[in-house]
Amino acid sequence: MGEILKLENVSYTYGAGTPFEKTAVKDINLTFNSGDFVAIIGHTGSGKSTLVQHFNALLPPTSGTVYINGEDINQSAATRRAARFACGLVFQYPEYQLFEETVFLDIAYGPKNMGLSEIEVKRRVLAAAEAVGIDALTLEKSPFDLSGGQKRRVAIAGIIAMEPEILVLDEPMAGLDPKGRDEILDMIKNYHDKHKTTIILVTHSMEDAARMANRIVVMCDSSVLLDGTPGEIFARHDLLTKSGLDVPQITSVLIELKNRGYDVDTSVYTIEGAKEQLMKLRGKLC
Amino acid sequence: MEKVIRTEKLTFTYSAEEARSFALRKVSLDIEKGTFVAVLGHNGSGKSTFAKHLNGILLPSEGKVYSFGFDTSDPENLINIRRNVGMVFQNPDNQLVATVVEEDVAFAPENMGVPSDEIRSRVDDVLKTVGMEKFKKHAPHMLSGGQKQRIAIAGILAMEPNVLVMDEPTAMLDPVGRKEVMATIHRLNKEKGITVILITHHMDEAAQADRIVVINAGQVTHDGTPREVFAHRKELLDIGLAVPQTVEILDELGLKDVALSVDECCDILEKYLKG
Repeated sequence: MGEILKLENVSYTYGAGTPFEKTAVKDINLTFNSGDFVAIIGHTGSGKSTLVQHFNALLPPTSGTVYINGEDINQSAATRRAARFACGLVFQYPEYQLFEETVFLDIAYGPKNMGLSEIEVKRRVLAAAEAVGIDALTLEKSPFDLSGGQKRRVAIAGIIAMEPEILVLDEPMAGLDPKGRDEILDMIKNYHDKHKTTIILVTHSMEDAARMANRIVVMCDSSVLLDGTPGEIFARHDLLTKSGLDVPQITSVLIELKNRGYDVDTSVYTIEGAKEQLMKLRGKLC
Repeated sequence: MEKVIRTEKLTFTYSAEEARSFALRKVSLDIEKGTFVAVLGHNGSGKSTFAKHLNGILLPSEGKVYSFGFDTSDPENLINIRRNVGMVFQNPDNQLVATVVEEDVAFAPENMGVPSDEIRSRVDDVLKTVGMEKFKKHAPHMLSGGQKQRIAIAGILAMEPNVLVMDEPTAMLDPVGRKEVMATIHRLNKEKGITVILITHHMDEAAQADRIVVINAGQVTHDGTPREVFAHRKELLDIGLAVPQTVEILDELGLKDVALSVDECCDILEKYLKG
């Protein structure tokens, strides 16, 4: 798997030279490989949203360089434009960005701006709608007549239709109930399995990060605090709690059992993993 | 116990043409003074619609809602009801009106014609209650989400309501912000005796309530203590809700107990491990 996105010593300062000057990301070095499913996690104000806006040149770094496929994306208007198509960014509450008369036209907006032929635009809209579970009937409706969950899926389809090599989603589950959250997560997971697109998911839910990603990057105070597999990350629950993040409740249970003197592995973060472990331990103890 | 809220066969439909699409259907509930009630339901279950009936933002299509004995459908009662029943919504950015924190908190008592020295003391008081007294001269939009939501709560408290209705007040907050806000709500309930009605889909928040009411498809499906309600794991899953992981793991291991905290869960697991 080749390197697709790379950040070299990237820093960004808001309002430089004013009393509100704030360095939102500081000296970030990260490399993402093609086909990765990475979760970026951090408390509010940790810099994660500022960070992802560097991935497609929405923000130019105050210092440092961002590369997509080895090319500096901030060289010219042309490279910035190319970066927007290579790396699709789905913002928080994307449903507020819907504006067209029909769902079809809304999803078609991105690919149309790429200058694709009408036939190709149509193909992409249909494929994107299918990927997010929007049926043909809904495509003719006004996006404003849809439910909240459907609107969000349409908004995500609008980005998917540009067929980016990297898909970045900033808190795509925010404000959804457990069922809605599972639907969106399953949809993203299926899309990843099928297309092998590089996915970068920004979230503050450790449970969701653990379930979905093969790598987790933890942001804290504008820097990268931890970077590793879910198991590696959860083994550092002391650091996580200190930086204002929660570990899954089931991990807390295992940590407490360990404190009470039981020989359990505290890097487990799923119910299935905990169940298996507890049953085995019981077998040993009884 | 005094009943602060009473709904009698509360039925609500958003559009008259589609009379069959009920948002709420014959919901009859009593809420007692000083209790902490969590209302659970998935998106579209009717739980927010229910909340908006409690202080007359929405009026029943059929049935009655009484807040402090006042019928919400009588416009003359609305002032009394809204002073007693304060509402906090999901997004703090939609609830803050002024450019300085203390002015924002003073907004409602000013509108109620409270004398200015009384406003001063109320504002100082409620800012202390939510732990934001140091920020009284700050600009609300420069605060974190959790801080903003605590300012929104302070603004409601400045009216000195007896009931706080919160519609997913932590949905837009990160874990730290959620903890701040939940700790504030619990303190208000315990120390000031304010009745809290918390609309949520966070199971860990519901686990800390005195009572859980589950709403699905506009009807109450479960009503009881967290222990009673979470014992119905499968039914809750069927209507798109989850149970806390402390409950889930015990159920997966075939144990009958319901644990509401990590400590309690570990106590039960210790017994299990020892056979």
